[in-house]
Amino acid sequence: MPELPNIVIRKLAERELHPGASHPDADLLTAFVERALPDRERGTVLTHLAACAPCREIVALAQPAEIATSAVLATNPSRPLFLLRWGALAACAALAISVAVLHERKSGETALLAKNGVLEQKSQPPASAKAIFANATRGGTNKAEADTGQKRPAPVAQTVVAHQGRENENPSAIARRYDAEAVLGINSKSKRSLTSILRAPAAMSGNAGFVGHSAIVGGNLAPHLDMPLQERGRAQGGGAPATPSAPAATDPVIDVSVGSAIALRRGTAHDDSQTPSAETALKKEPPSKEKASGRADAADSVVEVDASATASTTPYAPTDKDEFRASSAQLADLPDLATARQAGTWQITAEGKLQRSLDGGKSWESVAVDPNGRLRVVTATGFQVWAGGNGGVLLHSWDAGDHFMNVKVRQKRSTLKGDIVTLSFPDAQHGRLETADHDVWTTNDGGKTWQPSAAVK
Amino acid sequence: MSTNVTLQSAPALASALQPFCDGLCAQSRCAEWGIPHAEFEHILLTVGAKYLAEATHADDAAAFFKSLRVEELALARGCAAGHERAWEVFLTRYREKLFEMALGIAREAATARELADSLYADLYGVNSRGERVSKLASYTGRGSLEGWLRTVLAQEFVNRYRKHRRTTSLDEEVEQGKQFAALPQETAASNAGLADSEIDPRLDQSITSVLDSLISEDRYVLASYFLDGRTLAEVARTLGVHESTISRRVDKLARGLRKQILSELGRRGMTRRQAEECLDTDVRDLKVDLRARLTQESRAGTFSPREAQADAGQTPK
Repeated sequence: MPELPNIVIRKLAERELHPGASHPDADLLTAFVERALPDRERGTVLTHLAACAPCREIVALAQPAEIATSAVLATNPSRPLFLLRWGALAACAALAISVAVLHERKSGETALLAKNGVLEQKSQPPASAKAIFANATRGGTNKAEADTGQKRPAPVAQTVVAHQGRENENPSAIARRYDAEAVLGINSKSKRSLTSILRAPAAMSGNAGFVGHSAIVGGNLAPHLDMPLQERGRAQGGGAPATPSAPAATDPVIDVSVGSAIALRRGTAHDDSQTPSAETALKKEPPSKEKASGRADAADSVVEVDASATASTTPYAPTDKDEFRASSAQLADLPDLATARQAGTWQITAEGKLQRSLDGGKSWESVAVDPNGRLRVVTATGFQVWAGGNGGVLLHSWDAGDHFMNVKVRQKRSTLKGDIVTLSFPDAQHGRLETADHDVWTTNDGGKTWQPSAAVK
Repeated sequence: MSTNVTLQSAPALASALQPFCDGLCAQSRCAEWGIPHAEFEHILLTVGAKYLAEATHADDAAAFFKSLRVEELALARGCAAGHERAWEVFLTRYREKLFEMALGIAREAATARELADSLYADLYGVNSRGERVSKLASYTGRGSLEGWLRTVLAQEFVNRYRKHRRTTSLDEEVEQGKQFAALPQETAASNAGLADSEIDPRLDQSITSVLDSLISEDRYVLASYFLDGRTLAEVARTLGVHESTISRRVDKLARGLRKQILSELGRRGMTRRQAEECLDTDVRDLKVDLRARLTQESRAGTFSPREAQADAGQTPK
């Protein structure tokens, strides 16, 4: 803003009226403020105001705020009306898009619920995510049973019982939870495993020698997520403590389920409501020696892992880069809900039978693959399901378990004959299995060819 | 009595009012406030005589009477006359607003309450003689009654502020740093003669002629912005235009003033450089009589202690 020369300002001030001069009355000033004066009188008042500081102050104080607003609108009517018009149009468009998106999402949920029969359930007050998680982990205290070797019911039956508490949930809450679980590959046991990881991160080890228990595998629906974890699992050594800062959701976990079944689960679980706290807890909780030996203390009595049940020997220290890659891949590669639901959740019963759940673990159905064989491990990557068992039996399904084919793992002079105890596919092309005899086979072409490790050769 | 004289001297107003006087009276509902028809007509004529010249055209007078807020005028006069029903209506309409307006002016609750109470007393208007003299009797309906109340509040606030400023104690002045304040206006005015004598008369004449050539609204804008220090938004609110309009106007006025003054100085025989130097002279510097100040200064002291003692007629020990 340009300044007036000081001498001009001084001359302007000298033109001010003396205090004894006559002033317009309150009526005239009011009419001036309200612009009710005719031009002649307005000019007279303005002439006085130009030379009378007290009257200028009175006029300034007597201004009502609403008149100022209306004056602005009246003098420049096109711009505010223009903005209002287009603003209202933009607001309507945003509202319409929001309604469309919400409707589409609602339709998707309804379709899923209808498919799984969830809508038949009674409507109840929605359970919070915390309650659901607590419900899922309610049976985790069976660690004491595992310790004492008490007789436990069949794992499958226990699993069903564990999920009965959810039947009273609100259908929409169930649908949301199922969607989340399906997308993230979580079932109740995997959630419990998540708790196990949080409380005993050092227990994250594997052993090629574990036998005779059911294995639960959440469908790995985001293969890229497991790229670093697979490397991690390969690098891990038996009995060595895992790094406490390892992301819970991307580590192989030996899990004692409700029925004391040991579940080998590739941690693709990222419960949306628990992940932040899980990661925080992992970073905050230092590994204890007891946990390092695979035994959680009594206070953390959720998990007990036999020290002999470890498969890895080399501790893996994940880098920030790995975590970043996993999280970004998780965001980028989440499959759609329908795909997630069809992939299902897989487990191996104590009898070595393969079972599948299409409702996030609420109910299980047996999948007849090899009536004579005894399976030990199963893993799923999208629609690709792999199951391994005694005698080098390796089954593969490319259609989410509707059809299985027997895969012969061999290379020229060597053939896989040992019991497969570890099986992992971080993505559809790269796989790794390990036998009870510590033979390791890998594939890089989706299981068409397998290469044994140097020890096998 | 003076009103009657005024009315008698303006028969044209009565004739201009007559055609629609009944309509105005009915519109004002003056009967509800205990004001007879004839009395209200007299009130209207009084108002007209106050603002309209004797030779006002009948159409202008008619437009003037039609522009009056007759309903509020009747209410105010009813209140001034002590009509209870009028006071009920007045208080219902304006009791809350009055305090809000006072708060908007004073920006402080206690002062606002005091201001509103003071105005209430003036509006009710009972003096010591028992004669009811209400301030509402001065309302003429040129603007809204609410606006008039706001203006009266503003006037009262300005008067109180100025009065309060005059009665500030010395301690308060010291607390406010008054001892560091600039010279009072009287002193400045007394120095103005000296300063004016230092100002080139051509510059004085040029500035005066250029300021005289401005229209009143431009002078009002300049005075509000440069003298009162009001913001562009405040000036714009007063004139009912947009802030950007005032911004452009101030910019244009400042540039135009400088250009016209330089042009006037050139017309009075100054070169362009002389005119610019003259215009950019700080008037505060002109108030300092450097010659007189320099002659009052004692001669410069010496930095050598020996010389200083020699000047004092002492010998060093």
